Formats: sequence, C-alpha cells, structure tokens
Amino acid sequence: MSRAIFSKGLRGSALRWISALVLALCIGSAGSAQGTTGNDPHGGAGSTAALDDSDGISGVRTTPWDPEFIDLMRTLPVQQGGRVMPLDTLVRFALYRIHHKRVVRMPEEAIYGLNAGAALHPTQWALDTMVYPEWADSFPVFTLEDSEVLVAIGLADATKRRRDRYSYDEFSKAIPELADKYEEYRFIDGKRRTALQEQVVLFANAVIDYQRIRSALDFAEFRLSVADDPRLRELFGKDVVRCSDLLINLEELGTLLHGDLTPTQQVLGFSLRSLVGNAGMHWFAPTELEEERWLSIVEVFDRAGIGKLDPKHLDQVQKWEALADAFGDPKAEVEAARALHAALREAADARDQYAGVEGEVSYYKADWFGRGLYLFVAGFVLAAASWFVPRHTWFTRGALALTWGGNLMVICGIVMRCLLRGRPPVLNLYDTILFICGVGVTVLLIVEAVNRRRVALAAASILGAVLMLLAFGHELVDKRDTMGELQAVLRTNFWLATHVTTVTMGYAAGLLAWLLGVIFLLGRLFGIKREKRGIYQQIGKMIYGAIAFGVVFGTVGTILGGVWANDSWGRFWGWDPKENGALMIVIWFLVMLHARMAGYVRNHGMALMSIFGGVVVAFSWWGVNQLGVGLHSYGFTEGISTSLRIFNWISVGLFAAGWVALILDRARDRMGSPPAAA
Amino acid sequence: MKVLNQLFAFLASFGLAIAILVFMLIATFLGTIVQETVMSLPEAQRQYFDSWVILQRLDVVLAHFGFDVPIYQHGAPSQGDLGWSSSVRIPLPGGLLLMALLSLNLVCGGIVRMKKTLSRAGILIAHLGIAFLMLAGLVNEISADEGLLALYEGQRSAEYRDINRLEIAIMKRLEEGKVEEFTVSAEGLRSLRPGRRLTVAHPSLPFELDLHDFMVNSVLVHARGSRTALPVIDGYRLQPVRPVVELDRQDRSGCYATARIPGAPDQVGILWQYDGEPMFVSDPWTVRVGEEQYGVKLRLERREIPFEVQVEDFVADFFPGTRMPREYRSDVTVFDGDAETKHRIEMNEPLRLHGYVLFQSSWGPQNAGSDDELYTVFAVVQNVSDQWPAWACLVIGIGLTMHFGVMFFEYARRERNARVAREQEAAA
Repeated sequence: MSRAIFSKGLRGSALRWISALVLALCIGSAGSAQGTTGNDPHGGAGSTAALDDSDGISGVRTTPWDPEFIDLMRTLPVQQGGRVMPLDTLVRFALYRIHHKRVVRMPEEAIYGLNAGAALHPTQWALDTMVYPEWADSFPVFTLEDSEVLVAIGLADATKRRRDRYSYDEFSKAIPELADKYEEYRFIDGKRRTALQEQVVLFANAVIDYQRIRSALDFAEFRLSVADDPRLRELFGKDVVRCSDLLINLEELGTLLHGDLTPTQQVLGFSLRSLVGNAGMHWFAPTELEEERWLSIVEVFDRAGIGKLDPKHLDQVQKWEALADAFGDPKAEVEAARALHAALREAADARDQYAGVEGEVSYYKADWFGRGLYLFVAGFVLAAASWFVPRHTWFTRGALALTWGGNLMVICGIVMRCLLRGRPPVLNLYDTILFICGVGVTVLLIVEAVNRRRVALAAASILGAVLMLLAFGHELVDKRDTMGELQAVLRTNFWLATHVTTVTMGYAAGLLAWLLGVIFLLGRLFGIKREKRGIYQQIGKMIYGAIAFGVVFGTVGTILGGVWANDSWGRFWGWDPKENGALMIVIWFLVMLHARMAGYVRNHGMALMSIFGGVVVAFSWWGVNQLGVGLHSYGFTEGISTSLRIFNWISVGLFAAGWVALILDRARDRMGSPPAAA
Repeated sequence: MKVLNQLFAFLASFGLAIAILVFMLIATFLGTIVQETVMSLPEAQRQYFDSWVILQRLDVVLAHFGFDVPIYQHGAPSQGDLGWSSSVRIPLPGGLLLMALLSLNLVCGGIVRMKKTLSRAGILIAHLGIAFLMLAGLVNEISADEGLLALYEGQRSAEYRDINRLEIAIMKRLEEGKVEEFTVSAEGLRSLRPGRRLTVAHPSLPFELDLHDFMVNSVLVHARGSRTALPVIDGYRLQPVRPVVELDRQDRSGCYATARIPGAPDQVGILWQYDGEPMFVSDPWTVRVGEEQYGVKLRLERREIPFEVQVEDFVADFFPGTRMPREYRSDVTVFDGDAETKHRIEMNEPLRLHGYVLFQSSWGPQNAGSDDELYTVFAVVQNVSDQWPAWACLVIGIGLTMHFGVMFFEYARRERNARVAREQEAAA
C-alpha cells in the first residue's frame, strides 16, 4: 500500500472508487454488512423497496424547482476526494461519467414547465434523481459508447445503435451480471484490458455513480409506521418513525431487536440494514474543529451505534427530513433548504471552507473557457476576413479586440482556479492546457503588437480556439474533478510555481512554433504567392522567436525539475519518461537553433523542423502519460491516444509535403527562377 | 599541428553538435519507449544512458509504432517463434558516449572557439552553465551513493543499504552466539554471462563460492511440477521475474551458489536477496565445513553515514476519507559526535549534513493495518555535487535571458522603424 501511494496518486483515488463501488454493488445483491441475503438487483431500489410502507415521494415532478432552491443545493458543501466541494461539482463530474455530456437534454416530453429539449444542468438533474428516483430512472442519461456492453451482460435484445443513450430502467435487471463482470475485469491492469472490458468497467462505474445519487436521500425519506407494535410505539413515543428517531434510539433498538420479532420489528431491522447499506454522500459536517472527515449517513449510524451520536449530526439529519417533507411544495422546499444550507454553511465556514464552495460554483457558472472559446472563434473569423479585405482595418481591430477578450476570459478562469485552490496555476494535465492557451495567445498577441502583420493575430485566435476545445474535450474524457487535491510530493507551491509553469511555457513555445510552421507550410503549399517574401520571412522570424522563448523556459524549467527531484527523491535526474520528454523538447530546440546558426536551415527548414518539434512536444505532453510508467505519470489520459495519433499523422504529412516543396523550390532556384522566399 | 587543428575544428563544429544532439534525442526516445514494454526504469537507465553503446532491439520500436510484432520479454523462458524483428539489434551511441562528446564539443565550440563579443556574452554564459551542469553530472556519476535507511520510532542507526550494490555476506558462527562477518562485493554478478560463474573467496574462509544463474529480479517458488534445469534446494527453486518498474521498489535479486570445500563434496544453495521491504532480510544459506557453520547471504551492500539518526516521531497523513497521501514527515534527532540536533524530514524538505542528504522516501510495512506501528524509510544520498545543478540553472537562465532578451528588443526596434517607414511611404 504505502509504496504504491507514494508514487501513484491515481491508484489511491482509484481505490476510493473501487471501494465505493464494492459497497454499492454488494449492497445491491447482498444487503448490508450484517448480511441479508436478499437478491434485489439494484442498490438504491433495494432500500426503497424495503421501505415500501413509507409514503416517500414517488411520482413525477410537476412544478419547476425554485431557482433559489437550486442555488442553495448547488452550494451545499459535501466532502469527496479529500476535499470539501459544492454538491454541484460532485454531481457535475458524476454526470460526465454517466452521460458524457455537460447537461442533460430531455429528448421528447416537456418536464415541469421546461420545454422539450431544454437542458438540465447537473444539480437540477441530480435533484430530480435524488428526489424522484423512480421517475428519473426513465431518463435516458447513460451513454454507452459501444452497445456490445449490453450484449456482454445479457441484454442483447435491448441494444439500440452502437453508440446510444439508455435509461436506468432499460438495463437495471442486468445489474447483477454487470457486477459479476466488473468484479472480473477491474483487477485486470488498465493497459491489458480489451476495449470491451474497459467499456464494461466504465459503465459499471457510471452505474455506481448513479446509484449513489439516486439513493442519497433514502435516509431522509424513510418513514415507517409502528402503530401496530406497542413496544416500538413506547420506545419511539410516536406512530411514524423517521431516520432521526432510529438514530436517537439506536442503542435501545439493538437490545430490542433480538429473539422473536414481530413483523414490524422485522421490517424495521431490515430497513435499518438497508439504511446503513448506502455509502451515500459525505455531507454531515464534522462538529469538532480538528476533525476533518465529513460523515456519510452510514458513519453517523456507526457513531450512534456506539452511543456517540452528535447532536449536531442529529440536527442535520432532521433538517434533511424536513426538506424531504417539503418536496413538492416549492415554497416549503426553499424554506427547508435554507435551514439545512445555513447549518452546513456554518460548519464549513468554521473551517474557512465555505467561501471556496461558493467561489467554485460561481466559477463553473461563469464558464470562462466557454466564453473564451466563442470569442476566439469570432476573432478568428474576423482575422480571416482581414486577410481577404486588408484595406478595412476594422476587421483587424475587431479580431484584435475579440482575441484579447478571449484571452482575458482564459486568464480570468486561470486566476479563479488559482484563488480557489490557493496554488500556482498548473497542477494537473487539464491546467496545462489552460495555461498553454493563456501563455501562447498572450505571446502571439504581443508579437502582433510588435510587428502588426496579422499573422500572429490569426495564429492567436486559432491557438486559443483549438486549446479551448481540447480543454473541453479533456474534461469530458477524463471525467474527474479538475480541482482535486494534490498528493504529498506535489504540495510545495515554490516548485509548482517555478518548475511546472516554466516547463509548461516550454511546451507552449513548441506548440506555437508548430502552429507557425503549419501556417508557413500551408501558405507555401497552397500557393500564396512566392513573391510575398516578406510574410514568409516574418513567419520565419516568429518561429525563431518561439524557439528562443522555448529554449529559455524549457531549459530552465527542465533543470528546475531536476533540482526539485533532487529535493524530493534524492536524485537530480532519473530518466523517468516525463523527464525524458522535457529533455527531448529542449534537445530539439537546441538542434533547431544550432542548425539555423550554422546556416544548415533557413526559414523553410525551420518551419519543417518546428513541425517535428510539435510532435516531440505532443509526445512529452500527452504521449508519455500513455506509457503509464514512471514517477511522473500523475495525469491519466484515456481516449487521448486517437487524437494524438491524428496530430502525429497530420504533422508527418505536412512535414513530407513541406520537404518536397523545399526540394522543388531549390531545384527551381538552381534553374534560374526568381529566388525563393526561404 | 595541422591534424590537431583539424581535430579541434571538428570537435568544435556545429555539425558535430547537431549530430550529437540528434543522437541524444534518439537515445532518450528509445530509452523512454522501452519502459513501455520490456524494461524497468533502472534497467533502461543502465542500457541507454549509462552505456557507451546501445544495441537497440527492433521489435520494441516496431511495437511502439503500432506494428503487431511479438516481443521477447527478458528473463522469461522460451516463448516460441518470435519472428525476425526480435533478433535484430541496431547499434547506436549510448548515453555516456554522447555526454562525453557533447561536453567536449561544448567546451571546444561553445566556449573556447566562440567569439568573445558583447553580443555573444549571454550565449557564452549559458554554455558555461551547461558545462557546469555536465560536470555536476560527472561528479554525481563518479561519487554518488544512494541507499535506504529504515527505522521504527525510537530506533537509532547509521547503517544504510546501498541499493545499487550487491554483496555477499558470510557469517561465521563463533562460540556464545557471536558472529564474525565477512563481506565481499558481488557486483560482478550483474555482468555475468549465461552459463558463466563468478568465484568469490575471502582469505579467512576455508571455502570458495561459485555464483551462477543470477537473476536481476526473482521469486522463490515451490519446485513442484516445474520443468527447470536449475537445481531444486529443499523443495524450492528460484524463478526469474520481470525487473520492477517502480523506482521506489527494489528488485529481489537471486542466484545459485556452489560452495567448493577442499576435500569435501560441493554444497549447492540458493541466495535470495530480500531487501525489497527495507526492514526485513531473508534467512541465510548455511554452509557446513566440518564442525563449523557459515551463513551466506546475498544482500544490498551495507554502508554507514558519519552520524546517527534516531526517529522520534513519524506521521503519514492522508486526505480525509481517502488513501491519498497528504504529508509524510519524520521528526528525528541527529547524533553528530557529541552534538545532538533535532530535524524534521518531510517531502521536498530533506536533511543535508556532512555531504549526505536524507530524504523522506517511503514507509512501511506494506499492508499495514490502522493500528500497526509504522517505520519510516529515508533515502540516503551522498553527492558532492548535490546543489550544483541549482547554480547551473541560475547561470543558464541568466545567460539565455540576456541573449534572447536583447535579440527580442532589437527585433521590436527594427519592426517599429520599418513600420514608421512604411507609413511615411504611404503618406508620401
């Protein structure tokens, strides 16, 4: 255990998920830890089925959620992955894992006042699922990339198109089979799984996420009538028992539920086991200040079981119950949510955690990178227009304004992330995309300000748009919290601020050079006039500038990485794949600079070499993470390999075509045509 | 003289610089992708970066680029027909050779022959910085030692295990339970060719040891039902396994040993180095010579730091509700001669003393329960050039920034002038 955790934070978080899954799936088929042998297929439903005589909310939502209610629930603090986050973030990434999209669009029928096709954002969807599970089970939210998964779990007749959406209802009867398959596949090393096995594991994970959300409020909606059992009535002092009553009287219940039981007592015992069978959300705030662990309902029961029920936890449970009572009445919902929210907020505030929760929700609401993307695209359209109608400086000015605007959005987003985490900008792979975008676009815009040739401007808007798309794609493919905690070795702000940012700037420079190289070669290949030498010389200079920038930051960053490694692992350089990747970039930059210095290459040659440099950067940035070895493989990238391959093939193609063009140019020069631009 | 001049010109040339850099790029790339399929990191380091020549297997390269070729796994038993690509070896210059050449080229071309003008000052400084960095690497290569020191809270020691060196320890049992220990280096094992033997002897021992069938990483298995040419000892045999990939885990090397005792039959045994879990060691193999008994062990070489460390408190802290490490730290007392000082060793904050550096490396035992007592593991590194790279980094950073900064401002000035000229032209 210890060793694996030292080097691979991912394994640690994987373990977390696995344990959650084991719980969820086991419970589905085996009841609680005490070992009922019920074989109800789905965990959440298992517990609600047991609680049939409760008058819990089932049915369909008819009135829209009050916006204030949604806001309160979004900002509800909950602990996951070792940090306190808004409920919104938790369900957001769960939705990514289940739905592979950011929002749920209801396909046909209109629901509670929303139009057909209206988007449900994550919290809204999660509330529907928590409060109206049976209804939500019919929403087609599960995205299957390959319908073979259903065939594998014995649902061959349920399959639709190869890639399609399914509702929980459509496959719930096959969940035991899914659980069996999952148990079999999840121990196979990720690299050795077949594509189908991988899909099964991902699907099972999505089901676990879903079950966790759909059963999150089971405890609050629990009601059991004990009117026909005098002993229980006496114990509880009321006819209808709620979860909080069980908590208060748990110890007495333990002694009471022995020997011959009345039917009601049997139901109660079974209900109790179901209740503690749900892993649930960790949203019961710790009451002692030095305590960091937020509890799930199971753990609250654990404590109550040993006579350590905390009054504040009981209060929180009762507030949830009040909320459950209010469901269906928008006004009462808001009232109850306010009380609950205030209690949790107070607990989070006491630890200085609430400001971050609210900040995080507003960060996601602001959608900085989405806005950035639109501005970059618009900027590119105007920049392209300015090339065709050079006389109208308005296009250029518009493009400049939009691209600067997009860049500002990106920078705002990055700054928000820094503030929320209290750390330098780059902590994970997702951050590198954002940071490279910010650095690359800023550098290009500065170059544009210096030379005003509109090349750097166009490149800036393209780069911004492509990287924003990449960021969105990665967030959805990775499906994990992008603001998660850092493992021990990374938790030193000095090194994060120096090594990580400088090395990432080196990557940015390589990608800039690649982009400029592509522009150069496409221009040459697709007949932008050879006489326009000025442009090519300008691009050549910019490529040189990008490489020079890259050498400065890449070299310093790489060596700083060694200095850091020397302080944390005791060696300056260990030939670990990520280190090698950074070194390869620096070596290639040095090759380019020396080749140019020696006169072996000129502009055209530099453009060709920068294409290859892009491939080297891509290998270091994404490729080595695919190898999955070494101390540095913190960033897990799944599904990235295809894009990487496409990038490499484009680069190879351009390189080859550009090289042929260079040879032809030289041949033409020798035969006495006008001198080539390069 | 002319020849010398030509040689110098060659060594100082751009062409050589570029060739070396390109080969370094290739070696680095290959040394990275082999880790994907066939090699542990330490093994890749030995074969690619600490070597003069690389013999590159073609199958691994083809497999990386998506060709469907069978790959021979080192140390595994016969794997049937592997096709032609697994037997092709392409010779390439190795890391050591390239580093040596690069250093030479850097000094000749980048420092000695370079024009010492003001405009080149930045480049010269950067080159000096890189030369210093290479020197740091050389010093590290020659002088550095690394090992592990594992201690429970309250324990005090100066002895650490050198993770790169194997030794044979022979313990002679004396009267009253005392033991006399002899150690002999067993480093020769690593370069032992299949079928050859390494003979180890010590003047005060009455027998010689022949070591053979060395395995970089191995497990001890029941011999039942196995088909092996290797001897079975007490029902067990050694089986080679793939060397470990993780840097912070150790191979468990093993070999067979034949004790040759003059005038007595040979005795054969298994030596298995079980230092992977740094608190524990395997039982020795016993050699009997007449009445006397000798315990023989293959183990990591034992060395000492010039001061003693006592662990007062060790904390392994996780993020709430997860198994993700947040912090490890050991509070230690250092006994340095008569002086007694307190230190805290934690992630990214090592202890530096007398040329030795102690890092918080890991902890154990593996699979410890929540109530088990934990031990802390320090990595021990002795390296004179410990802080040199940091200084080199500073020098290189200054040099490069100077050079390219000046160039950028020149470029900006020229562009502005050109633009002004264009506008004036347009106005006229």
